[in-house]
Amino acid sequence: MALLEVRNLKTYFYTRYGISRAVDDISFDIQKGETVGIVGESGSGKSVSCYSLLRLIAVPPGRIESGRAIFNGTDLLSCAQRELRKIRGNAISMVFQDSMSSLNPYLTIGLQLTEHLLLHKGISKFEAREKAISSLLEVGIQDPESRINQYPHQLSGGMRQRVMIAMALITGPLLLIADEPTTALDVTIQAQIIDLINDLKKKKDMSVIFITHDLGVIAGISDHVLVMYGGKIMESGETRDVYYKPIHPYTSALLKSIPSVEQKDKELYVIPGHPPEGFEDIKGCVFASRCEYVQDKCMVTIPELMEVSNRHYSSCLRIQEGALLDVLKEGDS
Amino acid sequence: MDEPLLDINNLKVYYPIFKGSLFKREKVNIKAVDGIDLKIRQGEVIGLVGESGCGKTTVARAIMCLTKLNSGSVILEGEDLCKLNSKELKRKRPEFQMIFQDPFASLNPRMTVFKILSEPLLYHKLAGKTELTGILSNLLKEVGLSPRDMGKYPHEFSGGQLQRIAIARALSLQPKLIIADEPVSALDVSIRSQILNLLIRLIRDRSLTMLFISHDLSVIRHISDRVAVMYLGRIVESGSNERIYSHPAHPYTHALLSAVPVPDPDKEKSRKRIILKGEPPSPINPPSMCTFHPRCPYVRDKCSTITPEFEPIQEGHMVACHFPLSS
Repeated sequence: MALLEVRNLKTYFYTRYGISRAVDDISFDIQKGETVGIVGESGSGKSVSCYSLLRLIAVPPGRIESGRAIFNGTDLLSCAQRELRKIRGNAISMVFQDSMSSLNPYLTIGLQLTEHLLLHKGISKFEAREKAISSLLEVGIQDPESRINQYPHQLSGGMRQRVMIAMALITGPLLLIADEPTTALDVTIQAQIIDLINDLKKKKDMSVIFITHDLGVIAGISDHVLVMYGGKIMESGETRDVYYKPIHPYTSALLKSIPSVEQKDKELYVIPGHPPEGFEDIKGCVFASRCEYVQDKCMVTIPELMEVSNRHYSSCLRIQEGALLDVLKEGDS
Repeated sequence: MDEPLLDINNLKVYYPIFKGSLFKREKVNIKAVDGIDLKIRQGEVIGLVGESGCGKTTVARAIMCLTKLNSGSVILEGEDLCKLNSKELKRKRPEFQMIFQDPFASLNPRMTVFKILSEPLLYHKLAGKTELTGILSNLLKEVGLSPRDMGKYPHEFSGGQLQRIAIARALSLQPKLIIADEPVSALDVSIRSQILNLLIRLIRDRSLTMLFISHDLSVIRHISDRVAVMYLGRIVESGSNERIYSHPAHPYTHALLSAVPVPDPDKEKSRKRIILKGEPPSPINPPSMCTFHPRCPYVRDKCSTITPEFEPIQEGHMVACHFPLSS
């Protein structure tokens, strides 16, 4: 059985400009010990979908319209707040993108690290402190005994991100949600953090949801990939399948449009137009207006995510009827 | 070899900061740029790459005369830009223009596109009011926008379109040199390729000379003819694009290249990464001699006692390292 089962999740935002369908009917599973990468451009709904799971959406303007998210037998979306609070930061924890604004500048690292423990595990302050020190050591922070008394501004960006990871892992979660944890960091530091998350994941046998816009990062870290666009899942499957045999025009176009350090002088593929802002009332496929293989039916029928080959899903109507498969493969090679 | 269009010699920019208490203040210098030499030839695109805080943007600001230099010279076509007075600088300005990173911040939200684009032309008296509309519609078409967009305000555009407007503004004065400071970093993946292709087309069509600054090695790889790698205010390696990416000689360049994630699962999993220990040290108190030695995986005694010279190891390939990696 899957560790987390998300079904038909819809999160809408009611703003004065209209209804924004940030997450529009998505379903996915997270298996135990698996790393799932969610990739998409800004506004594609990748963060909102994970925030919705922990009900971290501001209500209003946001509202979780429908859906279920079964985690260890509890529906995260409908359970009581009290029950949810026991799970949040305990069995499911999160690492955010911007460590400077997610750490409290007034409190020492130590206080922020032990807060979860005191709340969830009911241990003494002394024990919590010992545990905080060992967790800092685990994420590769030198001299944790003195670091623990420091404030966030005294640490560098990479170090603060390590503290965030230590904080998320201190309660021994089953699922870690990492929302663009390396986006604000330099490449050499990014490599360190990715390595760290990979190591800890193996050691603790937890599942990880890794959200990013960087297809390169996902390629190295995840077992399974979800490609999101306009609040919907375009394609999902094993990482190798998605990269080498994309079965959605968006994934294939995205892969062709990124510059690589490995080759030069290849004209970049360009996806015309720009991503939807979420307020448009789109009747058919959200990608149809930018798709080079668009047909009339794409404009009027909302496609469902369907299994095309083994554990490899696509929400493209033309793929589902058996067309395009060869075209997309050729385009990639 | 012909005269370079832009010749930067021993450029140093220090920012003073004050440490200590109110009564016992001590002036300390942040050595943002600490002795840089760079020559850009006519029609060449140079990629300047480095991590945050290494001084890339300060180099751009120094060339644009937006910051004071502590020493050095920036010579554009035989004239030292730093020695010009404000009147002379105004005359010279149309020849070098800049594209900034964040188009949301670099375009005035209260001006229409027409106003934004016409301002530089009118200020430098390069166009009369009657011909403006014609010039601007051609310019907008060239960057892939419609002349109908002229009456709109910046908030009506997406990030990619705004960056197109910023590019049009930089091009409007027909500059010889363009300084592009992270022009695609704020954009989404699918938009980034649009803007990169546009820049490459403009470079080709208008035979532009460009200093392209970015932290993203894959973008630099794509657009530039030559590459210069910066670390802590100094250039540690420079050479042709092919050379740097296939045979990096400085350990820092090597580590940087190995850290870039590649969108290919098999290569990612099999690849050997050089993970650098620690983080870039503070430019307030940089390590002595070779500034990279505390993090260098191949460090030897000599590195902390003698400053490595920035020397050619091959035609056009310069490295500041005592023990450059052989390929």
